[in-house]
Amino acid sequence: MRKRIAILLAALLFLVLASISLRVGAVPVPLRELWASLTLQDSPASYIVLQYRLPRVIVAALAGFGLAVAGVILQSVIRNPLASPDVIGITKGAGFTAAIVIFLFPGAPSYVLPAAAFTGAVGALLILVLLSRKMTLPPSSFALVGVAVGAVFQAGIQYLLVKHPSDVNMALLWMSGSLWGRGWDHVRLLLPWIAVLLPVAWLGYAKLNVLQLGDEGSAALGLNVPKQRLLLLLIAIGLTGSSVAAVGSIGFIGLIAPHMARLLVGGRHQWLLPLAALIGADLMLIGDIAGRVLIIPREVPVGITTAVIGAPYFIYLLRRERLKAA
Amino acid sequence: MLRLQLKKLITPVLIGMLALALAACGSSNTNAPASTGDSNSTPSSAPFEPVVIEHELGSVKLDKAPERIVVMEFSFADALATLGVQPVGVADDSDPGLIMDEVKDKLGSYTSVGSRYEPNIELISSLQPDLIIADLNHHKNVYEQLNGVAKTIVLNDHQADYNTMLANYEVIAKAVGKAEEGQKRLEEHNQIIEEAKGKIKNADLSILPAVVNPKGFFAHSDHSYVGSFLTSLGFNDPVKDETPYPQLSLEQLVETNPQAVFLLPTEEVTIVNEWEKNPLWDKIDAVANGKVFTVERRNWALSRGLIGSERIVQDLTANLGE
Amino acid sequence: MRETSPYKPVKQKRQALLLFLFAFLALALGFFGNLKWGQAHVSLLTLYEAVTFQGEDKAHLYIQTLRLPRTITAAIVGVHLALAGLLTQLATRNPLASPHIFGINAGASLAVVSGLVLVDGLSLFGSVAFAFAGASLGALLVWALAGSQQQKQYVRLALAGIAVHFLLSSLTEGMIILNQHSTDSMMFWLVGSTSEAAWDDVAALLPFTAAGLAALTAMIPSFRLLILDDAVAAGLGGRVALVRSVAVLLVIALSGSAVAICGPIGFLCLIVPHIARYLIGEKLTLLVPLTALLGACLLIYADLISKFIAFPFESPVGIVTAAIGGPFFIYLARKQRRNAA
Repeated sequence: MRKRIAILLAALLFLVLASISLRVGAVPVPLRELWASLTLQDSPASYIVLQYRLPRVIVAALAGFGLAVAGVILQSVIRNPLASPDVIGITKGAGFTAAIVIFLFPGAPSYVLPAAAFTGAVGALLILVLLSRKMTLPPSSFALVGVAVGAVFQAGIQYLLVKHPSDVNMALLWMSGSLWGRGWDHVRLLLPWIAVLLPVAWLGYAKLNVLQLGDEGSAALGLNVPKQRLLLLLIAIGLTGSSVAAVGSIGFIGLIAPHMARLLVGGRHQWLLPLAALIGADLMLIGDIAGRVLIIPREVPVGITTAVIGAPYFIYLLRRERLKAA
Repeated sequence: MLRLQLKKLITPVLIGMLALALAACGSSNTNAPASTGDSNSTPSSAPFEPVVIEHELGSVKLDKAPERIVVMEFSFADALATLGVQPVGVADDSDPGLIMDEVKDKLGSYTSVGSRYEPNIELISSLQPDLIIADLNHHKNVYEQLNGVAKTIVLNDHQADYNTMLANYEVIAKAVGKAEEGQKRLEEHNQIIEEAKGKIKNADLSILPAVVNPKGFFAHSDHSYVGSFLTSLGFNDPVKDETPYPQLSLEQLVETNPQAVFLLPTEEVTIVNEWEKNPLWDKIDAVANGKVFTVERRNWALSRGLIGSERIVQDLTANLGE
Repeated sequence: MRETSPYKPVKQKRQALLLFLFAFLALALGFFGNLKWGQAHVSLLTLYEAVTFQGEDKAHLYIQTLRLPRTITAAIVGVHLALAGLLTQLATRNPLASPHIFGINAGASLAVVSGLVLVDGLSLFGSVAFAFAGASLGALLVWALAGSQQQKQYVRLALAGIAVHFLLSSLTEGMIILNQHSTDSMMFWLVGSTSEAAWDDVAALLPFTAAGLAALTAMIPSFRLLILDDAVAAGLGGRVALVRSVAVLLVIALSGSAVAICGPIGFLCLIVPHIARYLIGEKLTLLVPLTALLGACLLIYADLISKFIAFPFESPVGIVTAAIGGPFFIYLARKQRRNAA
């Protein structure tokens, strides 16, 4: 019962945030105009609502779903509550290829950047899988290898940043994650991935529940652990790669949303996955709303606002874990 | 125990949301941009012939002279200022101080549309522009969205050298229906440049313009805007590198040994204050000859238009001509 | 508590002596190389004249005013970072620990960038102060999390540290994005670089080096407590906690001062203690000096390499240490399965 309420509340919050997000910004839209635009009546706010804010809200939500669910999957596959696409270096891989495009091929058409980011995310996973002896490495080592791979990518990113001082800002904006200017193109880019992979991930909840128990337990229950782990990782990478391709390498959503969800509904994935997804989207929207209203007419990139919002919670979380361990 | 923790979790979230709501309300009262319909631009004298403007990402047909223009780079603002056109919106990184005074005076009052990297598209649409001039590098990803707001011209400014800027200028002049004025202004510009060339002695000096800040010395090579302009005046580029803004160490600077240095500081205290204490600093020809000058970065490296370039020339003749 | 150490036992005396001799030689060679090679060509004769302080030519000045202080700074910072790494690993009994992974570097970076944004014309002293504040903040965060260390928490702690690191760096990025006109030049420093080090910086570092080394030497017997068995250590509870806090303070002093001057140079602090331990074993009286020596060596060679990655332009030395340290970290992580799952 409590689990249903939690999910319901998160969904409700999502709707509230989405409507706030459509309403506020550099140009506030009165509710009446908002309604008129949404029902496709003629309104002076039509462009802002339908062409600018609505796709942005949808992209934020989809990316929030994707990153949060990827975080849940990674945390149970790696069996470590601190794993996330960010921490194990996947977003750094995407960041590195994106930086190559931004710095070395500044004239590339605009669809190259997301494609490169996706490739980078997949490449990072590939390297990880190779280095982890075909997934037979224990999950904790796997996470550390990920951290190290991420650090090497980071060095590459930094080299490019240092050598091209005039483009630093563009690259940093992309790398911290930004929803600026995300339109229907990005919705079309992101929607198929999320629409397919989210249900697939949910259908895998039983496996995720089992994997959480540990390698021996999972094997005893007849699970081919390395294979399942790889499959689930592929789902996570599809979600992360597509989200990152659309909005840049936003951190923390994939780390924090699963935690909040776990705190509310516990570790059973049939509940955890949908709630984490909704919380992920909620966080993205809160971050985006804050980013758009704090320093009008400029914007704070959503990756920064979500980090600021997430930081205190994250530290609280670590403290709590520590108390539990002691 | 769990209850307690839940409470701990919820309070910051609530506080955050409250703050958000307040911020949202606050902004909705104050920040409505003044989109009163008064036309900021002076109507052009000649009747406007429909033109087709070719730009980096396609072409645009303009049936009448645009009256409400939004520009997303300083150089476009510079260009409009020379043509006597006042844009309704400028992306000025929310800091009008970055626009050089002469340009700012001519622009009159405009609405800032935020960062040049991420201009506020909502705000742009609320200004109801009929022409947007955008930069290829920074804004190609939002070309479709901008096109939904108004006809958009995309020019390559971020990587432009002096000649690209001149070509861009002609495109802009044509787009705002002032091709003739533009031509006239270009001739005037060329004349100013020629006159200046006459005044400058030793035009084959090797000159190093460099942006300096607390942590670094960034030379502008002849692949940068300022560098290419100086080369076109006949000066030598002492760095000779393909990267537009190579960062130099003191050792490299001494080896490069420019005969004149123009410093474009971003802050009051820069790395040069440190370097001046080193005896090596005095070994640079420019220092030994007393030819180290401090000029304004916004005039040299940010404005990147006719007015900016003329200002560069003025600084050059003031310091190097006699 | 300790599983059999993966490192070889203490070697024979003569072998240890040879090892130190060899390390000294390598250091001297690295020193020479750093003075000799740079953007400008300097002949051997000039080099000799310069270090004996004869001659006032450009070439002499390059060495006297730029390359010499830079090399000395690199050596000192190498010592600082390596020892800070060793102390972190001792204090947390975590082989994956290092100031870099624990967010100390990121804390210092955030503080220095904030300082640059908030204070106009931040002086050297000011940035050192900011770096310390930030380093302490990062350390505080991590030690708040590291409280009771058990074997199993190696990985958890390392991941927590990395997450704190990411958090602080994204705040730093935010600062840079929102204040681009004053901070976009910070990138070079943020990667960690010795290229601008001058005599002033050497002077600013030396007090910390002297105090740090003195305290460290005096404390070596006490630090042995940190590698004791849990059962034994438990009996000395209060003592151990005290020694651990001293170690933490030393880490902050050593890495904070290094970061303030050279920026957050990564990975050195992680890998050098491992190499030293592999070479000479766990005995602290030998391990500490060798770690310091190897730290200086590694950073000096990394600095030399950094000059030539994009010759004639400088690259930050942090990229070199990351390129060396990243793969080493992968090796450590893969080895980790023997110790903790």
